[in-house]
Amino acid sequence: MKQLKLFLTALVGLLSLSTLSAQPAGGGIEIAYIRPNPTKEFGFILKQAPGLAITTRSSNEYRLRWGVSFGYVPFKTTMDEFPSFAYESGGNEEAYYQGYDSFKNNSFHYFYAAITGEFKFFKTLLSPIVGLDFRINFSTHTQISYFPENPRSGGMEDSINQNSMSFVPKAGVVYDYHDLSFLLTAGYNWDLTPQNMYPYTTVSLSAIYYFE
Amino acid sequence: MKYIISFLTAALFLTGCNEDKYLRLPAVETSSVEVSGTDIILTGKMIDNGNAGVWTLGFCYDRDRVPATIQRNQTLVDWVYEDGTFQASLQGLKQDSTYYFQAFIVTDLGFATGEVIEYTVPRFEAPEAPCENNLTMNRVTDDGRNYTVTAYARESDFSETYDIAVDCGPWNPDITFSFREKPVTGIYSTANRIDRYGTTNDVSVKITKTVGYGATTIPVNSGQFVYVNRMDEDKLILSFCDLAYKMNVNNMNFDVVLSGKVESEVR
Repeated sequence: MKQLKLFLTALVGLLSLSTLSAQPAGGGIEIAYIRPNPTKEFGFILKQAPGLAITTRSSNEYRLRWGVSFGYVPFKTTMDEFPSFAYESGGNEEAYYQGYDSFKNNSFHYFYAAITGEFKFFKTLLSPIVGLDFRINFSTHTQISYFPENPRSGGMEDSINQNSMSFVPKAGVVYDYHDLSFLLTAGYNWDLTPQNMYPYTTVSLSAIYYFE
Repeated sequence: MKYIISFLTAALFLTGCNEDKYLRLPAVETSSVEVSGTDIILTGKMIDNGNAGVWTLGFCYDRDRVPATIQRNQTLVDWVYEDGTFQASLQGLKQDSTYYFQAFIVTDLGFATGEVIEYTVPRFEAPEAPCENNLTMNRVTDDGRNYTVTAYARESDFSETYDIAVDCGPWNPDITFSFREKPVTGIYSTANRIDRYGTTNDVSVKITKTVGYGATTIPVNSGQFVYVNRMDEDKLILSFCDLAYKMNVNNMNFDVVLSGKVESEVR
């Protein structure tokens, strides 16, 4: 619960910041395809998944644009059951106990709030862009652990909430058409926490309508 | 523009090209089960560590059934060869019985087991003491005196050894055979000290007897032989010929020998 409170506090902070700094001139949706890095535990546990975000942007009259985004990705696990173990040692003896971990409904819910910015290289309708997101990440899942030969451990459920901060350097193209902008970008989520909790590649397509 | 496209491509395939570096569950193989002397030698091979840290490798086994989990009769190894091969040696398994052996590996990401190998432990040929023809079951000769004895086998909580205590009757000597672990059919060499760093084929033999007004405990000399003729889940038989030790009486040393054959129930 502490992690959720932190995430919500950061969310309110981001909203306040965006409201105080400038009124958004546009808003839209972003469809992202997230691929957890398979060389890290995050990618070992979770399958690639699509996500959805709502996003705002400052005026499209400038080449430097920024806004805030709030996204959600419903990940599914790569396996129904992950083999696990417990280790016990005492004196000269040591032993490994066989166990299993599973995620309730095979689900892992991932949320993020981001300050996002892009720089448009040329003033043409179609232009390459580079950008950077600063993200506050939050995830929640219920883990069920059991050890077949220990009746006392019969399926312990544990609700696990985690959060972290990350940067997403990204690059792509933008196409501005009247009051609409379409962005196609690819980036990598560099987690700033020592645990490197959410390393992933993201490819996203955004559609933004400018009402000012 | 060229750089942007390069970056996009790189980001898209950043983690897609190095499948060798992907984290995955480990893989292990149960290679063989062989007999060497009275030892059962298990061989396994680590096929893949799954790019995760390896905690341990080992074997589990069960008699008459496939081991349900890796903690069933678990034996861990502390050495792996460069090609991933690892071995463990087991003693004291019931002869003429079928066992099921399985290698396993534990890594940061979990565990994996190899295939099960079914193996029937053979009946080992019992070694015969040189003086076997002169020995009678549960009779011990010490310092020229004959005793009818009773033997008890038990695991010692105090010294973490497997002991066979031989009781020669009231006021007569007591003899203790201490093995580092439950013995198997075979020949053991006497040693003054038995601990986990010694060899498994060592046995400490001590005689406790009354000398003057007190009891004294005397070890037999090192490098002599004790023959375990039979060792299974029910019964243990051991024999020994002319085990020499020095007894000190009134500051004078006497060379004494001990022979006999004892039988005990196994607990």
